[in-house]
Amino acid sequence: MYVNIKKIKDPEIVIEEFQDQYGTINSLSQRVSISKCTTKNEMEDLMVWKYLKSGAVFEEEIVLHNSDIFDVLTPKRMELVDYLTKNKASSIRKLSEAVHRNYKNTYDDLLALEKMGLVEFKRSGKSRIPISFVIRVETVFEH
Amino acid sequence: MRVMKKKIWIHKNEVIESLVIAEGSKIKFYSHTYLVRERSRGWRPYVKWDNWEGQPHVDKFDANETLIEQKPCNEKGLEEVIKLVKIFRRNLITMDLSQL
Repeated sequence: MYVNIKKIKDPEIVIEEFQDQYGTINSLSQRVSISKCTTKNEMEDLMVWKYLKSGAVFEEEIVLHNSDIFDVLTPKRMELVDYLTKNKASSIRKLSEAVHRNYKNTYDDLLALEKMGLVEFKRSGKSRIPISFVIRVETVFEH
Repeated sequence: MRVMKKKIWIHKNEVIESLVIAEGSKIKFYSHTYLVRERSRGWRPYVKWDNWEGQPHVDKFDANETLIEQKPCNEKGLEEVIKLVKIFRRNLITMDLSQL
């Protein structure tokens, strides 16, 4: 059995993140040409940026093969993901109020979800805005 | 054109990160990396298969994430990489991967 999680992120958002991190595609390209293909993240980000600029569709999947799946995907955590896929939360506190949970537990669950790639944080002043790009969670039983 | 990123959790502390860029059924670029989470260092790459500049090869990294070996090898699909990682896991670092 495994769990397949599909995310869809607007290419514009991905490009904005690259701009924040690297400046321009040319500066990233120069860094990669120096290090060649040895710096995994830079090489991959350059390829993704190049193709997204040319109009490619961006898809992300997370596949959980291990038996610890349900340690991570607890009902309370999935409730947070579900809420974030349908609603916007301007801060972690606002989210905790919306789902009627205390701040500390909400925060801890969001960190666990972030580690697995189900939730991301966007900075806005002092606040961290939780976002989820998950569109589908599928449990697959292998025969 | 499609950019597909996948993260496959093999174990609590082991993942494969895959990037495939395809135009129709043709794969223009791939990169599949086996990463291990270590207590003090966080995630670090062990082995990476990719076809940067159209040259399929496999890279091995040391504990400081420095490239220690690069060898040409056959093109590798994600399914094949998952199979290799599931069988050999951390032993991959000591194996001659160009022969697999």
